[in-house]
Amino acid sequence: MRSSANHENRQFPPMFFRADTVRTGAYWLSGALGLILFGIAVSQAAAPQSTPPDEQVRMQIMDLNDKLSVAIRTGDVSTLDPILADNFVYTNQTGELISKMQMLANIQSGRLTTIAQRYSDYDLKQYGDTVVLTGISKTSLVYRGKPSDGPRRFTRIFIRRDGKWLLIAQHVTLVSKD
Amino acid sequence: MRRWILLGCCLPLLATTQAWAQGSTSVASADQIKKEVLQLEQEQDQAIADSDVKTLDRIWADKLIYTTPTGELLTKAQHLADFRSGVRKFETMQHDDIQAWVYGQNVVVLMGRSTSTLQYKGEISKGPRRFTNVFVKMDGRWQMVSHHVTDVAK
Repeated sequence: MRSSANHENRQFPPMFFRADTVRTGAYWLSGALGLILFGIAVSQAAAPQSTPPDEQVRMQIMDLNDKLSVAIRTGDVSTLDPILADNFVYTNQTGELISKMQMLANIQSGRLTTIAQRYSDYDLKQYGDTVVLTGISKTSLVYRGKPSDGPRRFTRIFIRRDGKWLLIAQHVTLVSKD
Repeated sequence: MRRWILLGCCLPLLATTQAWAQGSTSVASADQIKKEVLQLEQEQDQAIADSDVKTLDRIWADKLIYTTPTGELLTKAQHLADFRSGVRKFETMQHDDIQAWVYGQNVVVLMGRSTSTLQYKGEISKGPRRFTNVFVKMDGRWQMVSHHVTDVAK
């Protein structure tokens, strides 16, 4: 009896050794671990991964690309303006660097005129909120009075911001006819 | 009180774990990102000059799309094979007029002018050329996902 009383009155200097504390601690620890695992999952989902393009993303990009192409052909600068990022840079087939303002001005002034558009060989690679679109263009155009029919290889880089896709860069090269 | 102590211990752990998962320890400024990518670009230039396929393999994303000045489209495997076999060889490496645009934490567009002398399939080319490189941060490191180069008209 004495020994039992002694046992009941025994002090537990390290508070974590008490049974009720261990249960509470385990409860909170499991909650915290769950939070950490959730955090990892969210982080991994937000980071870009090289994955096959999501079918919905493919459709969004191809629709936007069509809209972009039509706007260039018809000289529709007001449609083009929100599709191009403010820092959009375009390297054309002669190696000229063209900013968004210059691109819009070229179209508006008629310095760049598109007569007929023909695109093929599209390839789309998605990295999270970034898409690399390549293809062949046989578009007939006149730039600074010089006609050109291609074929050209183009690369268009799109990023998604606030749910909206933007064209941030475009690069074009004439395909050698050798 | 004990609950708050436990939670207080776990929150920094959560932040650290998230940073680990993202491969960075904090939100980087645009200048920091630009610096990192410019360093990687220099490393890439050196690897190209040395035909250092191992380094290029690390810098280039598996699905890299590489468009040459003749409009040829190369995959990473094809491009590495060209360096390995000596089909493509740089005699000098000269890049200038480099500009970089940072988009968020994971995307950088880098453009520049190249007057490097290179041999490709027996032909020598000296440029000048204009190139666009796109870098995306994946698995905690920057990788080049697209390269497109065009000869500057004379």
